[in-house]
Amino acid sequence: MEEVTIKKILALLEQAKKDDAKAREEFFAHLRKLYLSRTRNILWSRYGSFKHRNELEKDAEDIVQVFCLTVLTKWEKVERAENGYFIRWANVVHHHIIGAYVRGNRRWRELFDLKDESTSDIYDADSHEEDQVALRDQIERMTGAIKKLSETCQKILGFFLEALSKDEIWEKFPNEDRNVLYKRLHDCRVKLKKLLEANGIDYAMY
Amino acid sequence: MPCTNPEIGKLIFMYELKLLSDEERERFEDHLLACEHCFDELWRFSPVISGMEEHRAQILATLEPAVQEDFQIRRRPVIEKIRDLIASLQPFLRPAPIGFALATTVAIFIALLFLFPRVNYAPLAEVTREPYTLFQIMGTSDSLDSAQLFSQGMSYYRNGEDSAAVRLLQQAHRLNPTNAATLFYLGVSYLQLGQFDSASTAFSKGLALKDSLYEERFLWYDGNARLAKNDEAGALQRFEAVKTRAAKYAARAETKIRQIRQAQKDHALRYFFQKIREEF
Repeated sequence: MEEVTIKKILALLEQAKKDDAKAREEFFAHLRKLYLSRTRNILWSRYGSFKHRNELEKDAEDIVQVFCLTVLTKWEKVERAENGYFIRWANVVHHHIIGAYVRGNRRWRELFDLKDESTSDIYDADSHEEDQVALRDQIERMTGAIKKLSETCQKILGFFLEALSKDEIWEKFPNEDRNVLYKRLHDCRVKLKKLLEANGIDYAMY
Repeated sequence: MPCTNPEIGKLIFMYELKLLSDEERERFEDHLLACEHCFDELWRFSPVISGMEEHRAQILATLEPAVQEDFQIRRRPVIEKIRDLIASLQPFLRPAPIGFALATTVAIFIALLFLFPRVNYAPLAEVTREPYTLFQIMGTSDSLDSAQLFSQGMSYYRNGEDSAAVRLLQQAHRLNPTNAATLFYLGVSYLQLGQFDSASTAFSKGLALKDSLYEERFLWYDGNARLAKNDEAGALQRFEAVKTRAAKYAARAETKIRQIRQAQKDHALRYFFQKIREEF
């Protein structure tokens, strides 16, 4: 079987945009393979009970379909601003769409009386104040974790958040060996992840 | 399941922070498509990274002081650097005879009076860049498109690339015309580019939104935009409005009003001298 490459996926996207039905089908199939199981897992972990399996399956399919269409139509517009980081951007879009579904879905669940504890999460669309308190709490936990990182890692994260380009960031560390920095950053991520988990950060912040 | 190629897999954080070269990025994305472990890791962590980007102002504010120094040096406005330069020249200027300095000042003053018959208010205008605090302004009702355009526009804004910022913020405004933040930073970007009419239009549109968070800032910046284009009556009106609000910019607005009044008096004096010159 031919190995999928990012170049191939982006070429399919280009073709699909030109109304090439086959390319579109193939492009959607690749995204579906990457994102359907993840969508399904999130929905089931939030709303899952075996009883409603068919509805959740259908919703997961719908979400992925919306996601594929969004990626297809929006990538061209954002490619330059995203510096070509396709999968990184696609992941953000995917989480964004699931977030929209989760928020909208709350009313749907109330209508059909399918409430369970898992839906009483922090992001209640009807309670702006609660949203803000929870958000502030999440940010505090996040900054608490970041402050425990090494100075170099904090600096790199800071420069990234200041939207410096990669060249500008690397220029800030003229005497550092690039490979050593890579290794340190990787360790920093492992540490950050552990700290966030210890601080009770809910990754899926929607 | 473990990573299929840990050598490439360890680039994950660099990928998340967009620090890879084009070649490395492509190689890493190919790896992601083949390695379930890394794709999952990236996907799961994605909300954390985008959460950090979304709330960058708060996060940057809480970094260690040693780390923050680097940002403050970078953020320091040009005007402050000029002020520092002048301050560093003070020791050389001090020994000059006071009489000579005074005479020069008077000579320049008189020359200015006769050379420029019309008062120029533009130098009084403050067109400094408003710091960007993302937490206050991201509206939850923003569509994905306008929020993204806004966020990208603000990246350019922070880097001082005002033309690019204007382009993206205009697009964001078209998609969501009721977002006061977009109009505000669009106006400030216009100001930086010296396009005072466009800036004033953006601020006036923003004022019409009646967003309490931005109302005072719109007034203050519109006052300065008007001042820069020598519309002193409009500027005075805006600054008076800021003054009556008695909030963040009130003191500065009061100073500005005083400066304009003084400039008007000087103008009258200059008119008087001009008449004398014409008569004799």
